[in-house]
Amino acid sequence: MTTPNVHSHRHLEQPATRMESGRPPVKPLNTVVEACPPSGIRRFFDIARQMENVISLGVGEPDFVTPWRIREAGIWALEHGYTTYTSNNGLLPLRERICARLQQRYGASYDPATECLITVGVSEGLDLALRVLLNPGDEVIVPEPCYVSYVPMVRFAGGVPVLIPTGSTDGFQIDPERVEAAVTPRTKALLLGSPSNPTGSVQPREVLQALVDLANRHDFYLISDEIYDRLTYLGEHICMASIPGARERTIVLNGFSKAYAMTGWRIGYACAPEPIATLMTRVHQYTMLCAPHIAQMAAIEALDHAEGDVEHMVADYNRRRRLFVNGLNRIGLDCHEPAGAFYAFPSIRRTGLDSETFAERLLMEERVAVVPGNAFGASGEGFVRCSYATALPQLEEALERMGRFVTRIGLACLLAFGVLMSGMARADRMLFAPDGAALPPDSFRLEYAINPERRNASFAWAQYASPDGIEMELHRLDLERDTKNRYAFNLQYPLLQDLGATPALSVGARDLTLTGQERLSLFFAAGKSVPLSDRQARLVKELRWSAGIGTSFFNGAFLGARVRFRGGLTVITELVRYRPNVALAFPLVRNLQARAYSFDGNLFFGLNYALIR
Amino acid sequence: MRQILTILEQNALATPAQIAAQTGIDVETVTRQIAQWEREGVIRRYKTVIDWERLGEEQVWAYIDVKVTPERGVGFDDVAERIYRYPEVRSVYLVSGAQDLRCVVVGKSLREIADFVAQKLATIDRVTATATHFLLKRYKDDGEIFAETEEDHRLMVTP
Repeated sequence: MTTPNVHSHRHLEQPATRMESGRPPVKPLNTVVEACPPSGIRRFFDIARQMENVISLGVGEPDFVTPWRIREAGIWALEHGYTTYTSNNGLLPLRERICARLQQRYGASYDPATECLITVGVSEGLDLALRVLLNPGDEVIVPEPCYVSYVPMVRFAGGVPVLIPTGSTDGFQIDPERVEAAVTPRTKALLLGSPSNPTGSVQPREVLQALVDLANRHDFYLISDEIYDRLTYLGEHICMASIPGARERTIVLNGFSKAYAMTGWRIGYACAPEPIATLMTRVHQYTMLCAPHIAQMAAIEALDHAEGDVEHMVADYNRRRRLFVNGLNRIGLDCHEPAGAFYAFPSIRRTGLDSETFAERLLMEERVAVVPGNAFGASGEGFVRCSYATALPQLEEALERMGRFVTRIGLACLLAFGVLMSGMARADRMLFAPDGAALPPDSFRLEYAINPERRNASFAWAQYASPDGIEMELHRLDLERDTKNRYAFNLQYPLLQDLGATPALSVGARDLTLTGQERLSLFFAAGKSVPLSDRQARLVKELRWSAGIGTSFFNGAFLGARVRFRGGLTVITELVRYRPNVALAFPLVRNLQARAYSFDGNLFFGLNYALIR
Repeated sequence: MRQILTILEQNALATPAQIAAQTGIDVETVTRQIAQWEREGVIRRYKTVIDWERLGEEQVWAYIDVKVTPERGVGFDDVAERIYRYPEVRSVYLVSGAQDLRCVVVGKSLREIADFVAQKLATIDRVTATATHFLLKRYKDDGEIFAETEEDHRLMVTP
């Protein structure tokens, strides 16, 4: 996360600046802490705070106030003088209730007397866990994007974070193979949060089991941050300690902040096998003494009587989750379905902006605050975190503003000639009709087809899109018997992306070098994906039309349509030079498609290979 | 399906599209279900919660307890009917305890309500006593808190 340069640079400068300000020179502070950059979230907070009419989707806490019965219990405790220390590991009645609840909900059993510790939020629990597990230089594997505190806390505890990336294609699942590849003799623990802040993803049972197996095989501990356990919308939460083989090497961290909307009370708990819990209590006893007494009293009330409040809040989050995630996908920000927490983590790659620029411009131009994904680790780049713990009308308004922003970015590309454009609709035209979208930058496509009846009749082409989006194409068409000069070099340039209200637009030229049979033709093409109703979406993945106009070879207007069905089949039709062509494409393996064409009434069979970024 | 009602109970103006987006149920099903509930009387009416006082509108609300001698065969029903037919009577309940019927009456002034009690209520046969309580301040009404609501104390951006 930090480069040593930054650190040594500061190191040199600091004494000098201090001298200038008239203070005496002092020894440098702790190098580990100094090397740790301030949270990326902080910067955004400072900007957003000074603006008016901001809808903040940047808040990492519930928008509910603590349910009244819990607050009332806190007031009662305060009035009756529960203002003293408690025992170091917390009030026994609270620990008993926590352990009973873990047993009843997840089948994880802990002894309230020796294996449960009340902490000042999960934050303290995590700090304690790392401190008792790590010796200087021990490695902790942290899948990212992850909560902002994980990496600094590992470092503060003298450990070395080993980050492994996860991605949106599989809903930010942890790949156990990647974890295993990162294991070294120094690996001491794996730290994960599920449901996750910032991605909202939930690790499925198979992944958890695989991680537990790895932990046993390579002998390392598991630190499981389960603060969002109750906010699980698809399926049931699985407590790490309930996975067979996990308990003896697992520390479960949880608390009251999210489920009971009690962030400001600072109360959480840690459950671990006795030897670990004993050491954690020891550190806690010397550094914190105990968690706030009043908060502990309120937490007892929360466990005893606030189940209805929790269910009400969870149902409410779930409604907003559906609305917001659908909305994001509708305005063109692809978002995997988050199964837990209250965050959506949409990809913003289509806009061509990096996540900080996106967040900053969205805030400045539309007054919506989101958190750039790179605040949560390098693999969060290209995403932003949006919290839907925000009132429904505000969420709807935020979606509208974001949609406007995304559409504007799409239009801005028209002006920003040469701007890098990424993740555009897959260029998949059939033979001649351009569909408005070029290949995404740095992508490559090869196609070859033959007519089985006539050995010589075949066609092949290679397309490559340069990093700034210009598509170059070399093709060889041998469709009729007596054609000469069959090679042609073509160019296509994308003007607009298919985003929000704008269709994809491109301009291009065929047979640019005048060496082919076609003669130079210029064209202009547009294409757009059609929004699908729920019923249609069950059958069809994408429906796209295109239209355009071109000179000489194209001889006027041309039309096209492409339907990608669920299950893989794609049907492409076009009307070019006033004759219809049809192609069927079916995926064989990853990048390879088998295709059948009816071209000018002749049948061709071929293969299409695409390496699309 | 119950979720649809939960949403409508909070906001009667929620459109089928909005409800569909929040519940994941498709729009046609939501529309059909709401229409069915309307037919069946599960959804009785769509109302607006209004804070008339904020508008400066003078309104006097009175909770009037009525003691009634019940009659064989009809109990309290006929008396209740004679009362609830007046449009200024908002609600009529049969309740346990010292009194029998509890009525909510709305008028423009104290005088108007006093007249209503003296001339209409007290004169009904078998009504033996009335006790009128005037509403002084509305804190919470039908689940809606009328006193100032809590502010959002959260910071703009937090981890």
